[in-house]
Amino acid sequence: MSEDAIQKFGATIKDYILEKPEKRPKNRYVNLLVLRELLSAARFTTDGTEANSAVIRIGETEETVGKLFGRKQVASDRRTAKAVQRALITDEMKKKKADWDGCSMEVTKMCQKCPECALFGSAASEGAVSMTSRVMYDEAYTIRSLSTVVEEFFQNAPGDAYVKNATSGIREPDFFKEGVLIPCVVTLKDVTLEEVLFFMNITDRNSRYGATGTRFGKVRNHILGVYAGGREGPSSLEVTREIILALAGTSDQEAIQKVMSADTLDLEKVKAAAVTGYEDLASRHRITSIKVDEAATAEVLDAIKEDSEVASLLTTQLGKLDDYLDVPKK
Amino acid sequence: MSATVAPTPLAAKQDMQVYEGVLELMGELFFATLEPGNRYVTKPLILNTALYYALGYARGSYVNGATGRRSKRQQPTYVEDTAAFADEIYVSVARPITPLRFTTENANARGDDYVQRNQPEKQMNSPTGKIGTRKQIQPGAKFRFFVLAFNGAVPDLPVYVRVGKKRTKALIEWNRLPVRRHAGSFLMNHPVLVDDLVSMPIGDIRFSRMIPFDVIEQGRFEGPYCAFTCTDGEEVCLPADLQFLRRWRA
Ligand SMILES: [Zn+2]
Repeated sequence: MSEDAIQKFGATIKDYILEKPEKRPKNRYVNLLVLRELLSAARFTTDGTEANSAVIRIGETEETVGKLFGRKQVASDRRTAKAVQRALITDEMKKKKADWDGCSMEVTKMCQKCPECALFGSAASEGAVSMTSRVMYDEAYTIRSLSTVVEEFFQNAPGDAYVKNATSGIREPDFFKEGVLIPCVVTLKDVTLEEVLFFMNITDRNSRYGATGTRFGKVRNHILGVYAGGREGPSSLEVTREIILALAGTSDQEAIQKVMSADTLDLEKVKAAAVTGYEDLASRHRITSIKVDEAATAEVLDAIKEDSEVASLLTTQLGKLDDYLDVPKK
Repeated sequence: MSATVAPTPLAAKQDMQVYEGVLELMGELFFATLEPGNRYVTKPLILNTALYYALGYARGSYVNGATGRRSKRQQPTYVEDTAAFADEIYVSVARPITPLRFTTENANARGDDYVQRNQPEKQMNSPTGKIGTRKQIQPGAKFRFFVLAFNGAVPDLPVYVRVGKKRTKALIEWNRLPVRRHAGSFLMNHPVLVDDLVSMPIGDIRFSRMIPFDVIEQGRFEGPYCAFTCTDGEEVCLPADLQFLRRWRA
């Protein structure tokens, strides 16, 4: 049963994946449309205080929205991916590299031998080899405006309980509120079936996109579709715009403002608008792709939900990496 | 494969197509090649060296031995990587056509790349290898560049590309423009690399020092040129004998 779902999936996208990783880029893209849903408040800040934001344009309307940097998504997914590897293929890895003890998250200290390093890349290490990531994230934006999705907190000085300004108390980091929805497009380029499955599994099981080691930033990732083709697909920013326009039903400024300042959004409506928006954009730009929809994607995720399945696909992938990781001396 | 290509003067080529690319940033754009604090940070140009790779006209490798610092030593790779197209396609530098919004971020103050720690430790997360601030261009900004195709070459015109140090996604809207060919005195009013030019301008020069290549943003020239009208009505003149890094191919 589970074998079936994976085989069917592999057969569907076969023209846009590789048998083995190759050093020279080709134009094989697997685009994933993901909706990240905050299940608890999250801190997405760069300076430690202010929520990340950007001004975006939707039709004629300009609005400041919350932002989830591409690199925050990478960092979080990579932490999960490395943890999964350590748990599942340490023995296999030790056959390749006797002293392997997991793989570091430090940029220049990654092992450069594991499936995760091969897929997500790594900067030059002591071995002086650098690998370009074959996973590309878009910067992603909230559907609702910054003032609607963010809460500011202040630790007030004694006696200042009712004063809320930056000078009277210590500002605490801004929070993105629970329920915030962030549409994200992630692109896998020139990857194998095992790498697609590994990435999907990571996306499915990763539930932390905020700071580590806190109760904040619990996220549920809904994979709304997998689109494989010879081109990269539409961006997170455009999908966010399309969702806003679809929910507003018009490009009328007032209707847009109403959507962007809503207390809550209907998850199912947003999911549907994301899919329609992504596909409309693709067809407008004449980008064709093979689609695996949310239901079929869920079957694939179900087929690899057991650790033993993931261990087996990582082991298969590991066996495919020898040529790829071999770097001729200059 | 040879690293050098005999340069063919593009002026000698009969057939020429011009494609206008309007590139819109879908995320924040950051170049490591611009020094923090350098005043050119406020006048960003996307070099054609980056665009050749972004458009797929040049292909690198996913796995590389260390190249060390960005230096002149990297230049032969550009020449080699674009050898197949050098006679057929020319890509200009891209310049902004909308007002730009910037955000400034401490490049190394907090580790939000791969490592999270309370105290910053030396240069862990800085893409420039430096501690400082990075000034980034906000999404929505538009840049314009041109792809010139010669002798019937049909360039691939991808809609989405990746640019900058963080491989920011960008959307490109393409338009084919009718071209007029002339010869004589003209004002080049769109930036190109100094290394792409046959000769230096004779006047009205505006120059930007960039890394790894310097750019002439404007200059008066004498010789063959092409002129075309952009979709927003702007008239652009470019020398007809441009070739990507021609000074390195000689
Ligand atoms: Zn590794």
